[in-house]
Amino acid sequence: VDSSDTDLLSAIADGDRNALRILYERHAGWLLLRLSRRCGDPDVVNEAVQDTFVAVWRRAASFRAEGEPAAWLWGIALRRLLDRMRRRSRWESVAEWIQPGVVVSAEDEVMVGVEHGDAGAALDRLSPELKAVVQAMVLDGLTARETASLLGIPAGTVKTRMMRARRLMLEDLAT
Amino acid sequence: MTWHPSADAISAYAINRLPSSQAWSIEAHVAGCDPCRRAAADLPGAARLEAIWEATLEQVDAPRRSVVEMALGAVGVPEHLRGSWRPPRRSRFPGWRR
Repeated sequence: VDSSDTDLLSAIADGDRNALRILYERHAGWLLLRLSRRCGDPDVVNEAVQDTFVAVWRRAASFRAEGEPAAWLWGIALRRLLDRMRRRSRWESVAEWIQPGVVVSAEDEVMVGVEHGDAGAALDRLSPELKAVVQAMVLDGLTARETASLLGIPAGTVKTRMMRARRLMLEDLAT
Repeated sequence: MTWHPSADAISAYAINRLPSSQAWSIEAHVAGCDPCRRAAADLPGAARLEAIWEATLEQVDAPRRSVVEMALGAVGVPEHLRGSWRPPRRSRFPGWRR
């Protein structure tokens, strides 16, 4: 029970179901909460959490020991959510590949400073629609296209909203 | 780590009652802080988490899918279409049809 996440992942890679259970108990909760802030449909969030741990079961061997397991898990969870959202909307083309390998932790580090000071206040004054776009593109590092499928809006609208958010925040900070 | 969000703040985050700037700070912190992850672990509710776990186990126990099925899954082909995969026939229409 006191094994590190990295140890658990190598046990999972060897087919240890109990290790998967322990990892699930440690991480499913916060992953679910975080996904819930990106998708209002609880069923889709449930499916994404499920897909995440199925993916962990199948791909644990691909985890590199020097990495941070929680960041790795979040990267998978966010991709699974996008995948579920994409399936839910009309799937147009088999060739629509998912952009692999999102680095989340570095952006998170930068955003820690946001709460304090004017930038945080300017952010909080944005409309929910604009905040959702900023969250997806800045915090989660998604492309405009990925953001579009997550939010169910056209990619052009994503770009317009991102520009509007940027302009509003800059204006807010300049006054 | 010196600063930790309060239990109240994490609870408020869990029910989406925090401004984005604070919510993002909590997310950034929780992702890297084991005690805070554990504090958040039960907030979605035991019943919901158990149901997801059961569904996860079912898939873990299911027979491994073929390489083709997995590739189709990776590019977003819905599960119910993957089982009946066969090489696409020449079609006048772009994209895939059932």
